[in-house]
Formats: sequence, structure tokens, C-alpha cells
Amino acid sequence: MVLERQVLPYFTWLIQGEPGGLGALPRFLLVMFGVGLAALLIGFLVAALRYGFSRGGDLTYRTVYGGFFELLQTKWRRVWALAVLAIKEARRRRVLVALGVYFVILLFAQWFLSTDYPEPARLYLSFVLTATTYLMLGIGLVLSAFSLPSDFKTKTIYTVVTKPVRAGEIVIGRILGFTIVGTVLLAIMGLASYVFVVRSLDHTHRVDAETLTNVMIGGKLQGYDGSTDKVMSHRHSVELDAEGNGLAVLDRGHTHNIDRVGEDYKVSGPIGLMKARVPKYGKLTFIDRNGAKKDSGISVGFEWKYRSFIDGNTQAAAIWQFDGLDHDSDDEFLNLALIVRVFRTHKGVVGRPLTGTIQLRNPETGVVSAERSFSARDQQIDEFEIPRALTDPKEEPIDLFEDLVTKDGRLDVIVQCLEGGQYFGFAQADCYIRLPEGDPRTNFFKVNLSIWVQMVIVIAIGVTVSTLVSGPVAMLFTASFILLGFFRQFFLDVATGQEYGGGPLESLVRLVTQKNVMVELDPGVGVSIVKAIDDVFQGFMWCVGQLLPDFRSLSAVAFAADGYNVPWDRVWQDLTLCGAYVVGLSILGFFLLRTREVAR
Amino acid sequence: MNSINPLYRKIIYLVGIVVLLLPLFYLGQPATRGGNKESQGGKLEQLRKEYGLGQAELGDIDPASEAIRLATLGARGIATTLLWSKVNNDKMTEDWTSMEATLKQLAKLQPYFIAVWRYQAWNLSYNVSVELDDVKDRFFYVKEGVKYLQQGIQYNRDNPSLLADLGWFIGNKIGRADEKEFYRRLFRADDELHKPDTRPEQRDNWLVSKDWYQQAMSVVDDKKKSLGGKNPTTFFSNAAKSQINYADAIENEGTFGERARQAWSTASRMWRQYGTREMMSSFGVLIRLEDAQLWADRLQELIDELDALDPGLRDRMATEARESLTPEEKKALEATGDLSDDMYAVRSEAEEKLTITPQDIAARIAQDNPSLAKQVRRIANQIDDVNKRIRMIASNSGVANYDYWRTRCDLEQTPEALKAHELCYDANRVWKDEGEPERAREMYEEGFRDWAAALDKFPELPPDSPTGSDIMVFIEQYGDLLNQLDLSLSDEELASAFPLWDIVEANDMENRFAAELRAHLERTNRAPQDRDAESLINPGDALIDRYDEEPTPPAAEESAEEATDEGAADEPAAEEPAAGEPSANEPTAE
Amino acid sequence: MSDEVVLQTRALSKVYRDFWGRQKVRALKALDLEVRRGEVFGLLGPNGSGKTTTMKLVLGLLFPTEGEAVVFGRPASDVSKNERIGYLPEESYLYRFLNAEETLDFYGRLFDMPASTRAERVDALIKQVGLDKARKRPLQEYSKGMTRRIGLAQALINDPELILLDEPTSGLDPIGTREMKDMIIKLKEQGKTVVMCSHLLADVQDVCDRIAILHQGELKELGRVDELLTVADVTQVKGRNLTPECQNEIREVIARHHGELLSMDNPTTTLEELFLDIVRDSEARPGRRAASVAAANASDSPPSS
Repeated sequence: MVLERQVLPYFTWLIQGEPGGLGALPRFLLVMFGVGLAALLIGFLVAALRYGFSRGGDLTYRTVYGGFFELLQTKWRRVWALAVLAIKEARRRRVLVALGVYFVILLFAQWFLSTDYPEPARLYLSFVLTATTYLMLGIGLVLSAFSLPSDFKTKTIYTVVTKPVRAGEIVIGRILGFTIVGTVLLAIMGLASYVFVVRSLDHTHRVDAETLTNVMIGGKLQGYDGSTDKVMSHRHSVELDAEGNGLAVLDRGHTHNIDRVGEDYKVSGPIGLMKARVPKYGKLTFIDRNGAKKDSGISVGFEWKYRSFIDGNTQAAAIWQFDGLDHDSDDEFLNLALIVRVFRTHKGVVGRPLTGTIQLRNPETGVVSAERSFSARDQQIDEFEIPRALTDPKEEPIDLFEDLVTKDGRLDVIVQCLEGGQYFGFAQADCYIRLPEGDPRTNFFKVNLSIWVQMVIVIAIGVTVSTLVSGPVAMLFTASFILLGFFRQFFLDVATGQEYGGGPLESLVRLVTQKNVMVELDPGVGVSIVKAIDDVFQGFMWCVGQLLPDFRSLSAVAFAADGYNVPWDRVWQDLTLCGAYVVGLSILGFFLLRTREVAR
Repeated sequence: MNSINPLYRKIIYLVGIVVLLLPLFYLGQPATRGGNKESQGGKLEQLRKEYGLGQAELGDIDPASEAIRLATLGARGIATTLLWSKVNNDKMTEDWTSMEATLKQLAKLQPYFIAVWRYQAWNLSYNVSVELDDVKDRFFYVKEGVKYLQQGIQYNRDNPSLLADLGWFIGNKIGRADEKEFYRRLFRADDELHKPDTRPEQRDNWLVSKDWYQQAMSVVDDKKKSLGGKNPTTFFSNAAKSQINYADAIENEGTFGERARQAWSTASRMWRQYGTREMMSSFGVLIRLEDAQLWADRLQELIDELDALDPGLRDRMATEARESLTPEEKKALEATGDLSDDMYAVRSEAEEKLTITPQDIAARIAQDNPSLAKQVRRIANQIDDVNKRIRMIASNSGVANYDYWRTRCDLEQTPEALKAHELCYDANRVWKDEGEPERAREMYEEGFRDWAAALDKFPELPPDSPTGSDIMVFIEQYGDLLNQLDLSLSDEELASAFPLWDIVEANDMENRFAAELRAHLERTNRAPQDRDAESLINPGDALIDRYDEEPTPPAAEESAEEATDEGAADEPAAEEPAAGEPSANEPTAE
Repeated sequence: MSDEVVLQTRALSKVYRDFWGRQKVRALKALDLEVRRGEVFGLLGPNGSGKTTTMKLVLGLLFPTEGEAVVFGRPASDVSKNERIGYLPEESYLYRFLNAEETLDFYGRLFDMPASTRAERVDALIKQVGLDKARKRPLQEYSKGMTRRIGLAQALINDPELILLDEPTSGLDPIGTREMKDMIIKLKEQGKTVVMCSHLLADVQDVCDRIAILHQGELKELGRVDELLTVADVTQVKGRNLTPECQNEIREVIARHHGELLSMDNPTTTLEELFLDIVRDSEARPGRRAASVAAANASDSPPSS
């Protein structure tokens, strides 16, 4: 699967962050500090304008001071009461209609989904999980954006605010209430979608008895070989033992069990269609064709820079260093998986795959195993079971774990391409050690958890924003937040000037004058002014960008669709992020509500 | 009005409504099918059918497509833009499954937008397929592109572009790719792409491609669909070309004899049919490629008619022109070798002076005999018109290489050619698979003799035509075989028995046989011919050569020399057997 | 009535500004008020005089432009003061999808009342305001009177010391008005302070101890009702069983002392009394009324002279 950013261990993510970046906790504190400072300044300015300088200052001071005390006076009973109210309100607004919509979507999905693709599980899972995500975000949006403003409009807020309710409790109570409603809906949808996927992919074959041929070894009947009929546009070849039991060979990612029942063969449902592979990733470095160490390979001209390439029939190699292996392990095999991206500069022999080699090496002592060659299957996962009894290039026997794995558990895996003029492309996630597979159902649950996190963030934003503005405005604002969140990377790239075409105003100029983004605008006074204004805009965009949640990277759909386990580190990180947003937004919402004149 | 009872008012309104309903019903009734009665529907429906405006006229109406188009609630443009963007992104991140699924969604949203079908089918078959390494995977995606086009045709039944594209994909992509052996085999074996009752012989990709092209042509001919911006010359040639490619392909794969002859015979018939088809040229004039000779004859008639009005005028004018040359120009005409730019300019001016066009003659006659002026002008105009047609036919003929393929089809049907193919193919097999080099050599040599005999029958075929390069492949195999036997074409015995030296001369692009060729030429005392000298058709022919036919004494030698020197203005060498000996050894074009 | 000041405003003003900060309406101009514990205080004034604005400023629903409001010694913006306050707004600002029990339970929770106390109080209050039969019906099905009653119930849920009533009797029928007034008097007897604003003068006169009259945001009059309304130079004498001779004598006594006899006749009871009597009677004995009940009930009025 494509893993553009490595999943860091939880505490590394929290404290240190990615190399060259910030840890999550320091960043959160910085953002809170920045937002707090900005809010203070803006609040002071507004108060000063309204009430004059000294009184404004006094007011600001009292608001902040009093505010923090109030925050600490939050009582759970009040929060719960408000949450229950929010739930009742949601039910009255017929939020269950959303479930109806979901089922309608599932029904009509049949028109567009088909099981004829080589990877049907991928398509179904990604469809169902993406539909759930969008629907839950929509529900979160609609629930949260209209609730508080309608209270203001019907003035029911008066009777609440004149009770000793802290503003923070109102905000948190609503967030909690809507979260509960959303969770119930998500649970139902998740269950329904799981059942939908499993039932759609379920199929069985008939063994085509005409194709069965005897397999004789040494004159004795060992079993039968044959094939099944074609169902869902694929067929399996069949391997049976002498009694007629066996399995349908792996095709399109799954197998079936076959049992002989009387005269017939009973073929089970698909096994292994939904997977949860648990990969152990290593650190990738390269060696270029002259033998020098490099951080990345060469580019062969693809626009997508995810993979870099090594030359065939040269010293070029891709090296993964794995950590955390057990030097004293008793395992008989090391399970390795490799995904190769083949790039040919000439056709070579048409129809014959390219060959490469795999070698294992001890990073400390330099002991290597003999090269093991393989045929590169382009863009598919190739799985190797490397036995622990290996030989070195001089044909001396060595042991994988004792000789090649260092005491602290490190191992190098070296891959090379053998054919001149051809290239193999690799990314860090393209080679991993296969740990025992996880449970696809738990995995499905974890993906739904990440959807839950996204929904909670949207609810928090919606409630916070709706403390200040009317319903439709709050909805638009939240919707924009969601949209920008999906394009956060692009947004930040524009803000930091990494995108072609400059900032917003310059882009507008280019749109009107039809100037290509690659070409610089002619220098002039107007253009300088535009660029200066854009600098301000971009600064503002950058600030906003720090607040935006990155929905695209929050989505764990790719894990389930590609059949990989969602690591628990990732789950904790998502939950922490969710907590950070809820806490931060609640505090912001508290202050916004506090400073609002309710009866206006 | 107010005094009318409200009840009466209501009755009046009601009657009015009913009265208006009747014409509405008459106009708007939809056509119904099924049951016992089949109604034509109201007037509007009939008009729709007549002008082909109804959606049902385009193709199948798909409820899923309608539903999703409605479901976008007017934001269909945005939805399609987003989906296109997603397709491009999936292509960049190499997520083929998602890309295909998105293409299917796009197809549902924009089923009548032809460009979508064409572009994305091409994307699948050409761009995505090459990203995969395994040939079977590549074929899978080529097939996906073909299926995508077929789906597009379901929605747009009578679109010549889509039908022609399908013919192209199935023909050229499968039949001409580097992987063509695999593709053709996989295509034949694929059950999904053929109707269940087709015989294995009918499953050849070229034949299927021919069918699609013929469908495309019938849509244009019978249903009067427009060709769009396509050039009719290429469009209408496709079906016949597919048949030609089929015949060629089966001979390359080892089918000979009667089947191959029949294939070529069909090809020849189809090609001539194409030649007799009236097609629109870019000047708005309908032309037929077969009529080249017809118009040439007509031109000659007109010139003769012109000449008859004042015999000998031409010679006189020619003499006058020659005498009007300045010494500088004379010098320029006589000069040989490379000239400076100024000299070239002077020389071309001089040549222009020496050129006597029918218009010149007509003008002179009109000037000398005013009474004949009208007649002469008429003839001159006709000559112009005929020249234009000849030019059109020539250029379009050149585009389709019409004459070459016509000749080729005839050539391939001769028993000599058929035998030659079989012999060369078997020779290779005998050598490679059965390991009998000597026998193979004999077969090659017999094959080459057959080739020479066949080519002799068609002297108009130039040696550097595709036929020549096809034969060159066999010659190269023969060369390898000789190497294995420690022989070579430089050996005098072999060289003199080898009948295809001109083929080698014209087609040895890698100069593999350069040494052998030189040796042979030395032996036969001949200078190597310039490979680019002649082509079969030259548009310039039509005009000028009629006048350079009769050699006048001094100018003739000069013009003959110039012609040989330049090669471009050509043809004296070809037209006048007396002028040069090259025709002796070479069965060059006449 | 003690001397403890429960509610105080000092130079409280409110100016409504539009978006650009320009002044639009000056709703309240420098109001100075004091309300002491145990009294029933009335804010009077025509529509738009600033009564409701004052109440909202006191509750913290609005922020003052100048001056301040202090409740129980704490500023109006302090949320904790709400523990001891009850507020009955003019319209029902309650959640219409809850029923009476749920509403009171909800507001009870907002006071952080433990479950048992809450259950008791909810039950007691529902019975007290007479909504026992309708306790399970959602509020959107209530009539105006019932809505006012449940509003009152939620104002009293926390047994507050200060109760603020905004137009408590407007829109009610005579029976409802009577009950509301009785309730206010009862609250006063319990030692609670009540502040009410109204433009229904008769109702204010009946229950309030002190009143303030506002007009166009300014305080025009402040003082005890009886003091304000007492007509100083007129004496009123009411007597029972006075014979015509007695009446004549009284006339002579007044004339002797150089007083002026303004009127001597049978006083009228209020229409309210009559109405309530008839209704009570009708409820006790349904059916057509006996003709002379009214006359019999009005026995304390002597025949006019």
C-alpha cells in the first residue's frame, strides 16, 4: 500500500514529531498560545472601540480572569443534562433520516459497483467507508451548526443562561450530546456496511469436473488438478488430494476450501478476501550505480515522486534496515514482502518478467547471504519465505537470525535489479517483514474509529462557530472548514508559496489575464502591490492552515481497502488529535459565548 | 365580466382547458411499443425521430445514468470536473482500479459526450496498459479500453468516430504493438470480446477491426452521419487496410496457399472498391482515386486539341524562349555540381523561362488569332480544371499510398508470391526448429527466385516500398544462415545467383550488406544508385513531363543532364529508356 | 421588610448601537435603584420605557453601556448569582419538545441538584402550579395559561430568594391573574423578594409594596405604593347598617367642621370579585344560575340613598 508518511510510534509523535518537525504536544501548545494571544488582542480592540479604552481594558481583564475561574467550575451533572437535551433535540429533528439515506445509497450502489475487477474487496471497502465518512461528516455538520443558533432565535437560551450554567458547559454539553447521537448512527452504519461488503463479495464456485485430471507421482495417484467455473469473472485452478478434498488456488487475493461430499464437491465461501496485514517497516536508503550511498534513488520521469529507482545490472541497490527483530528467535522462516515497480527502457523479451536479487546482510559485521533471485511482478505484493538456513556467497552455511541479525535486532535487506537498461522503483513502504496477520473485523472497527474522530472534530467546530453566528452562516463556515481540511496540504502549499501561481490575488490576476501559472508576471508597480497584498493573505492563510484538521490524512480508509492493519499507534494519535480539538475548541467556544450579549 | 355567475366562469375555464389539451395530446404523445399496437406517437415524437434528435435515437437509455445525472441536482459540471481531476490523480498515483471505477462513473454522468469515451478509452488502452509489466496485464487494460469504447457505442449507436476508434484499437493496438503476437493470441482466445458463435478463424483481430470499420462506413453512407473533421481518404481506406493487414498477418504467422490468396483477393477487391468511391477532397471537388489515369488521358486530349489549333507553335515558342536567355542564365543552366544560392536563383528563373505551359500557348494563340480566343480560353480553363483534379487525386493517392497497395494486392495474389512467402517461412522453420541449414538455404534461394519472378511481373513497384523491406527481413535471415554455414554473399557464385540485389540496395538501412553490395556492384560495373532518386507518383509529373518528352537538340541534352543531376524534377530517366541504361538492371518503376 | 439590599443598580445605562458604533436607541439612562429583601417591587412604565431592558441587564442577558447592576453583592455578569434567582420571562422560552416533568428535571439538573431532591421538588412544583394532569404532555400542546404556570414552576425550581417576573399577568384571564397575584403574595409571605415589571397598573397596585415608574429610560417616580397613592386630603369612611338618619347626621358633622362632603353612597365591589364569585359558584353547582345570587352576595352594600 501507498504510505506517504510513516506512522510514528505514539510518544515519538507526541513529543518529538517527525525529523525536522514539531511534536504534536508542543505544536498544540503553540497553536493554543497563538490563538489565545490573537483572541486577547481582538477582544481588547473590540472592547476598546465599544466602551472606550480604560473600560475596555478593564472588561477584557475581567472576562479573561473570570473566565478561567468559571472554566474550573464545570459540573458534570449540568454537562450531562445539556447533552441529554441535545440528544432529544437531535431525535426530534429526525436525524434518523440519515440512516434511511445511507440505506438508499447502499441499494443504488449496486448499479455502479461490480465484482468484475481484479480487486473487488478494495473497491467495495473503499466505497462503503468513503460513503460512511461523507455521510457522518454531513450529519455532524447539520446537527451542530443549527442547534445553538436556533436556541438564540427562539430565545430558549434565556432560560438556560439565567440558571447557573457555565458557558463552557453549554458548549461541551452539546458537543457531547451530538457525539453520542453520531456514535449510535455510526455504529449502525458500520455494522450495515460490513454486512453489505461481506455479502456482496461472498461467492462460491463449482468444481468443473470435466477439467479434473489425475496427478500421478511415481505411478501412484496423488490427487487431482482441475479448475472451477467462472464466477465473478474469475476462475480458480483446483488442487485436490486423493480423497477429493483440497482447495481452490489463490486468485484475486482469495482461496476457497473444497470438500468432497458424496459425489459432489462442496466449495466454501471466499477465504482471505479481506485482509489485515501487519507490516514491520524498515528504513530505506539507496546505493547509486557507482556504489555511493544516497538517500533516494534516481527519477525516471514520473510525476509522482513517491518512488525512486535503481539501475539494473549496476551496483545500484535499495537497502532496507529493519529494527526490532529478535536475534534469539526460534522461527524457521523470515517472512518478507516486496512490491516492485518495474520500469523498462526497452521492451527486452516481450512476455518475460525481469529478474532481481534479494540479499540479507548484517549491518554490523557485513556478513551477507547468497543472492536469491526472483522474478519481479510489477505492482503486486510478492511474498518470500526466507528460511533461516542460508548460505553465504562462498557457499558456507550461515543462520539467518544468529549471523545476519545483530544483537540489537537489526537486519539489512538489499534488493538489486539484474537486467541492464531496466529499472526497479521502490518506496520505503514497499518492503516489509510480514508479522502474523490481524483480524479484518478489528481493522474495520479501527477505520470506523477514525471516521468517528473526524465526525467529532466537525461537531466541535460546528458548535463552537455557532456560538457566534446564525445557523446558515455557521453551516457554511463549518462546511468551508471541512472542505479546506480535505485540501489542507494544497492550502498550506499556497500559503507558503510552494504552489505555482502565487497567492489568491495573484491567481485572480492570472485568471483574468489568462497567464499561465508557470510564467512569472511582468514586473511592475501593480504586480508589486498585488504580491505585497498576497503576502498578507498568505500569512493569514498560514495561520488558518495551522488550525485546519487534515481530513485526508485522518482517513484510514486506504488501510482497510488495501488490506493492511491500522497500527494502534495511529489510533491513539487520532484520538489524541480529536481530544486536542475538542479541548481547544471548547475553550474558544466558552469565551465566545461568554462575551456574547444573549438578549441582543 | 364580473356579472357572469362564478359557476359559469368555472365552466368556461374548464372547457378551455379541455380544448387546449387536445392539441397537446396530439403533439406530445410519446411513441409506445409493446402490446398489439405500436403507435408512432404525437407529431413532436415523429419529428424527433425524423431528425434524429431524440435521446433514444442516440442509443440505449440507461436508468442508472439518468438517475445519477438527476442526483447531481444541477451540479453535474462540477461533479464531472472533480471526477476528471480524480482520474488524473489516480493515474499519477498508479491506482488503476480506482481510476477505472471513476471512469465508469464519468461515463454514467456524460454518456453523450463523445470526447470522454474516446479520450479515456485511449487512456486505458495506450497509457495505462504500458505501465504494467506482465503482457497479460497489459492486454487486460487494452481490453478494458476496448470494452469502454463498446459501452460508449451502446450509448451513441451511430457515431462514426467511436466506431472507427474501435476499429483502430482492435486493429492497430493489438495487431501492431511490440507485443502483437501475444495480443493476437490472447484476443483470439478471449471469450468476452467475441459473440459466442464465432468461429476461431473469424476471431482474428484484423477481421474484427475490419467489421468495425465497415460499420463506421455504413453509418456514414446509410444513415448520413457526418464524418466530423475527418479526412475521407483515410477514413474510407481503413476497412480495406485492415483486410490487407489481415492477409499480411496470416502470412507472417504461417498460413499460405489458398487461404492467403483468398485473403489477398478480398483485399484487392475491397481496395479497388475504395478507389472507385467518390470522396470529397479538400477543394470541395469529388474525386475517385482510380480515375488518375482517366484524367491524365483527358489532359492529353485537351493538350492535343490545343496543339491542333496551331501546330508547331510550341516548338517555336520554345526556341524563342531559349534565345531570350541571358548569357548568365545560360551559364547557370550549364553549370554542374553545387551552386551558390544566387546561381540557383538564376538557374530556376531560366528554367521557368524555358517552361512552356498550356496557358502560355493558349495566350499566344489568342493573341495571334483573336477569332480562336474564346475557344482557346475554354480549352485552357478545362486544362486548369483537369490539372486540379489530377493534383487532388495525386495527393490523396499519396496519402493512402493507393497505387502501391493496389499493386501489392495484385502481386501477393500471384502464385509466385504465395510460393515465395511459404518457402521463406518454411526455410526459417526448417533452419531454426529442425536444424537443417542446407535445406533451409535451398529453400531460401528458391524463395528468392520466386520473389524476383513475382516482382518482375510488376515493374511499377519501387524497390524501397514496404514490400521491399518485408523481403529484406528474409534476406537478413538468409544472411544469418549463410554466416552459420561460413558462407557470405560476397562469394561470387552466390552473388551472381542472388536475384534481389536491388532490394538490398534500396532497403539495407543498417548497411549490413554494404560490403557485399559494393563487391557485387564492382563486379557488374555499376555505380550505386541514389536511394532517394525516384518515387512512383510525383505531382509535378502531371504538368511538366508532357512537355519534356520530345528532346530538342541542345536543350534536350542539357535538360536531360539537369534532370539526372537534380533527381527531383525527375522522370526523364524513367520516361526515356533511351536516356539511361539504369532500366536494364533494375526493374524500377516506369 | 429588612434593610438588606438584594438588588442594586448604579447609574445603569444601556445604549443600543448599530454595527458602525453609532447610537441608535438610548434604552436606559442612568438608572439608580435599590430593592430590599422581602419586598415586592414593581417596575412600571409604558411600552418601550426600559423595564424589560433593566430586567435583562440585571440578569446578565445584556451588558450595560455604563454603570453596573449588583445582585446579592455580585456583579450581574457573574453566573453564580443565578443560584439564588428565579426568572419568569414574558413569553415562554422553554423547549417545546420536552414535557413538564422533563423540563423541570432539566432545569433542576442545571442547578446541580441531586436526583432525590430534584424528584421531590419537581413533583411538588407541578402540583403547586396545578399541572398534575398534564405532566406528561409536551409543552407545545399547552395553552397560554399552562405555559405561564410551567414557566413559573421553573422559576421556582431552586427555591430562589429573588424572583424576577417580566409581565407576569399580561395575557392571562381573570382567574389566572388572580392566581398569579395570590402566588406573588404567598412568595412575599415566605420572605422572598419579588421584582416584577408590568404595564397592567391595577395588578401592580394590588401586589406591590414599592414601585418605580419609568418613562423613556428615565426614572420618573419611586416610592411606596400606599404613600404614592394615598390622597392626602380626603378621608374615606365605610360603614355598615347606617340608617338614613345616621347618614344625615354625618353630613351635618362634616358641614359643622367646614369639611366638604364628596360622596356618600354604596361602594361598588370590583368586577373581578363578581367574576370570580360567579365562576366559583358555577364550578361548585353547574347548571343555570339562580337569579338573585348576585344580589344576595352583594349584601354588604346598603341600598343607595
